[in-house]
Amino acid sequence: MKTGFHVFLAAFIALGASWCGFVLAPALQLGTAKQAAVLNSSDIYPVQRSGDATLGLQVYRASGCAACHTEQIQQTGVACEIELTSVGKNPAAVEKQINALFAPSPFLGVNFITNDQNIPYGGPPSIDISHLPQIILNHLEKSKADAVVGGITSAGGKAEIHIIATGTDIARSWGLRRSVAEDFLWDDPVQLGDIRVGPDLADVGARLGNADWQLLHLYTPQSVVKGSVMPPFRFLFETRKIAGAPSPDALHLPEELAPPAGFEVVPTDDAKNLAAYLLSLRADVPLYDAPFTALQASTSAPSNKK
Amino acid sequence: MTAPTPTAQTKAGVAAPGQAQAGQAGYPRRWAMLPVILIAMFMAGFDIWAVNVAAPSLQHDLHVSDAALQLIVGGYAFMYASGMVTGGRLGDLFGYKRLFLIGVVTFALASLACGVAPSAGVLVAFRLVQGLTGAVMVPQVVALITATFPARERSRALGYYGATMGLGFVSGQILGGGLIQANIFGLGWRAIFLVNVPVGIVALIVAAIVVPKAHGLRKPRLDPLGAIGVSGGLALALVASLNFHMPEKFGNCAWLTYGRVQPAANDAVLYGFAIPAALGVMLWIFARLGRTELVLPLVPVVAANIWNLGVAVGLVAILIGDSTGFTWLEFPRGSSVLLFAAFLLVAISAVATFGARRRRELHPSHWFLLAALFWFPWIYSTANLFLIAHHPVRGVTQAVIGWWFADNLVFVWLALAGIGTAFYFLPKLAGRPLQGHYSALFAFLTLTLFGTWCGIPQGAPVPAWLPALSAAASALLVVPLFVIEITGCRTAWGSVKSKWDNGPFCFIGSGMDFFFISGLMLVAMACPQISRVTEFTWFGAAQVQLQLLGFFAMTMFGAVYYILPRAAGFEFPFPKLARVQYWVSLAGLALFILPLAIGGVAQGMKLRNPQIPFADISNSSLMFLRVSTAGQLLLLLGGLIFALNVFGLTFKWKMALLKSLIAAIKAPLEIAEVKS
Amino acid sequence: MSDEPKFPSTQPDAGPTAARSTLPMWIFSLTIVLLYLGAVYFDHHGGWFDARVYGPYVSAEELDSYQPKSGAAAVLAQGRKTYEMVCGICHGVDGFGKPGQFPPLAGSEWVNAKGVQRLTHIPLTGLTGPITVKGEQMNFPAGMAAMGAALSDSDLAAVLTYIRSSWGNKGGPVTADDVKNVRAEIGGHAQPMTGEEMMKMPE
Repeated sequence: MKTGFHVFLAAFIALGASWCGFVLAPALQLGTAKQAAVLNSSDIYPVQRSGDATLGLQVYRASGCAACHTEQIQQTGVACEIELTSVGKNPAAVEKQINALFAPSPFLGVNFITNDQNIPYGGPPSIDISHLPQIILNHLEKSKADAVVGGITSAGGKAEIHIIATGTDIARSWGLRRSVAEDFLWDDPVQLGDIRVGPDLADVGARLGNADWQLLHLYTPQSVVKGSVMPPFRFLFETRKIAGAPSPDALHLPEELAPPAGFEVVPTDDAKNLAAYLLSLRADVPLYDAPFTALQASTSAPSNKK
Repeated sequence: MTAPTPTAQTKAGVAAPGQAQAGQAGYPRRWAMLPVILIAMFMAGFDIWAVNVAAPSLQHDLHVSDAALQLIVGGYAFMYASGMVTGGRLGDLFGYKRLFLIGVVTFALASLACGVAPSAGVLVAFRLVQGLTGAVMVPQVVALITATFPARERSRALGYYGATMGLGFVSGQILGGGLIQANIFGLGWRAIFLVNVPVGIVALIVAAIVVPKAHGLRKPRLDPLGAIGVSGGLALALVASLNFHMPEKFGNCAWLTYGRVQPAANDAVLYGFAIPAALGVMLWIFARLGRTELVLPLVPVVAANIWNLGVAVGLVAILIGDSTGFTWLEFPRGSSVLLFAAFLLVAISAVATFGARRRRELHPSHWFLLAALFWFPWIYSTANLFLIAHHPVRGVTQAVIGWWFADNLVFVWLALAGIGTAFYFLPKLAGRPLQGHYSALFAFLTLTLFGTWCGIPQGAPVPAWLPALSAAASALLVVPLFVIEITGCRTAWGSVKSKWDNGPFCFIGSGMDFFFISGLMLVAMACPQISRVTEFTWFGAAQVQLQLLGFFAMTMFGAVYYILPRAAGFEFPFPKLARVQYWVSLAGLALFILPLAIGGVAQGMKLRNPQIPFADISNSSLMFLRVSTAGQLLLLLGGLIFALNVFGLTFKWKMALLKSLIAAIKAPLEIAEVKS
Repeated sequence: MSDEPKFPSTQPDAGPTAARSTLPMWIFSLTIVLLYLGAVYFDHHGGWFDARVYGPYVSAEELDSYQPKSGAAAVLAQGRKTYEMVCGICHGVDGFGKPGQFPPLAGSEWVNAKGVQRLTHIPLTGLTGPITVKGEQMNFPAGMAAMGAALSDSDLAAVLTYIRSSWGNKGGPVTADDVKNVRAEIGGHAQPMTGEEMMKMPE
């Protein structure tokens, strides 16, 4: 580096390259993202939040909730399960096909069918013909699953493949699939969070979708969740004299936290909006970039329960 | 008091042995001059109070929010007050008449801008400017009075000065209200600003004729207010961690809730201490490497004031809930503008000093520090424009740009500024040249090329190519980490063992080692297998704190301990405490970072097991957090020791300057200096 | 400057320099190896800049293969995709059509008929002249082209199944065999039919 100009050039090239790669390119690619179609449904996702929930996002931001909570579900794998829906006219042929898949290969001496950890299954599944549809295999890789279904179909039966997303977060029931760009389409600012002092909130609206529970939890987390380290957010509530009849919004607090007689604890607008926002956090519909087989009817519309 | 060194002014033929002061006769046109300069002062005081009366009209007309109103009233007064010292100094250096005229012109222009402001934001901005220009204008008044009136008349003239000041404050409310009521030309509240314009024009013309030139001499210096920043930040961090151990105590106060205090603490350390310290050290290094004096020495002083204002406003904003929601970018828009402007001002002075260097050869520190000067404005403006400006990017793109910014600021920028500093001081303190030029070059090129791509976390809700690029870049980051560590070790070792008695050497040497460790932690977190354990745990927080407090703060402590005595010409009041601070900070770092890192890994392993209920995981981390809090206490203690030393030195310095000023006031003036 | 600071400085201001020693070669080798490994990693895990590929998927093909394809749900997905591309422009993504011009499909008696003959003819031959749907007369001067003629049997079957089960419609599925039979019936060079001709056909 002989001169200042050389230094400037080197810095410009380095920073310019990463600016193009991590600012310009994502802005062009993700910044123009639109609502996506929900798989196997005529819905689109995501639906824009209600006004209360949008205000609630600002309360979430102002209170710094992202300092402890994340809003992104991780997914480490995907597996298939086979559901046998019909054995057709010849159940014996279908069973024979399935058994054949579990016979040891003449060359390798191991089963053709292994689960996604490449561990062979113990033996063929037992099929109860009177109780169809029945899940007969799970944790399969796609190619193996296709082979099984192909075998069943050729024997006259019918089977379906269910796609299941796998991962620790999903095993904890924090969500059904990974978070993708469409989940954050309407968020400004996006509050992804980077540390899990508290649980992940991406799908909390589906998991804990009761506004009263959320408000009580904000007021006194330790009473609602044993061993919680969350600080209480009492400044979002006000204690006021009961004027006439008790307000329907008043919190039902445990004995040691109840206000003095004649007083009630009610949530402020901020608290109610924050609860509405939390209830709007749902990520339980399958999308093209995060597919899974929705096994029960789920709606992408936010819950408006109060 | 040493003899003053010749300056540009003396070379121009104007004698300047000290503060200008009138002799027996005084300046002939002084009584004609007095009303003119007092009118200007009256305007400045008037404007402080007139706006109070205008508040309802402002709210009605411009829909000014309460917060903006506070800034319109208080911000003016703040700028007015905090700029006074700088204004006075500028007058000493460049001439009272010149500064007075500049002040009047800029005050009138700023008032014009306020008067025609179309929106609250514009009004707030120009009110702050108006305060600053008032602060340039007013100190010249006392100086001119002192310079032109003989001793026996001075008390009378100063009496008029005092009366005008009081009159300005009182009439601000009354006359201001009258002006608004009169609704001249339908202008309403705008009249109180616009009236300054004709008054300013008249004052300008008359003053140009009747005000004499006079000035004094003072040594320019830098304001090391960064010492407050580090202690304040560490104190806030302590409050944040206390939230975990006594959650009930903080439940009722929105200001102290963890979600607000934690980002405020981080920002206080980074923006309040780290960046200003780096800039100050950078200026020193450029001046010393180039064997030249600092060019435009007062620009950084002004910039420091603007920066500190921006940081103060930003921190308060976070605590009251106005944070932007983006990590390391929580300061709201107005604050960001102040920080950006201040940085550019310092960069101008630094680049000018670099350009004026007598020794034309570039030292490796030049590369790192120049790159740092270039880096910050680009990433800061990009982040603010894409994320916080009127039309931010949509959706998860915000997160991507936020991660890019955080990596480029907390990892790359701190590395550039810190390693640049270390590559200057380590050879100096070790007594041998840097080992070697090409290693440093390779380190610089690989650090800038690869380090800037490391920001995207694995598993992020973005298309796979983004985290894949970051993972690849993080693997490549190993190269500059090793090269820098090897260069540092080769330079520092093999010398006399006694240099370990050298305070700054200890700080800077340890700082480089911490950089290496924190860099390795960053690389580890990018490996997909490891990231599955460390993501979303305290391990990431440990890495960032190690980079910020372990590497950067220690390097800056060392540099400041070296620079300040040489810049001030004084010793620290408690020099032995520097060694104490080193060991206290080291112990504090160990107690703070190690439990966070280990606790983070433990937390991550438990998170991987879905059978363990989440509440158990949080509770098992508490034990680690307790030890960390003890570490934070030690770090706070270290920061306080540092602040004690720095403020002690600055106080000594200011006292000495004051003494020399008083001595100069008592010295007789040569009449030839005062022109008619 | 006055008193000298107490920190022992071992170096008078003789000017900082950097020794011009050579860089060890293994650093370059390490850099090149890491560059290669990084490129391989990106090739395997980067999805080659595709916006739809998120981990754990590594390519667009893999993602595509994991889309639920078998079963009734997959047929609907396929039908919806094709519908929106081909039919939705006129009949609307919501099946409402355009009053007076394009007939609505939601709640239409033509769609919800028990048999699938009549319905399957429409996209295979096209329509001309006015047609009454849900009591309202529709007339689009250019008529409807044989939009389904270019589709495969299974594609058209999927579209018709989708139409018959969306927006409140309660018709049953249309199979690829049904479409094949109707195609065979029509033969080559089909002419657009009118509303009356349609009504004369069995359902």
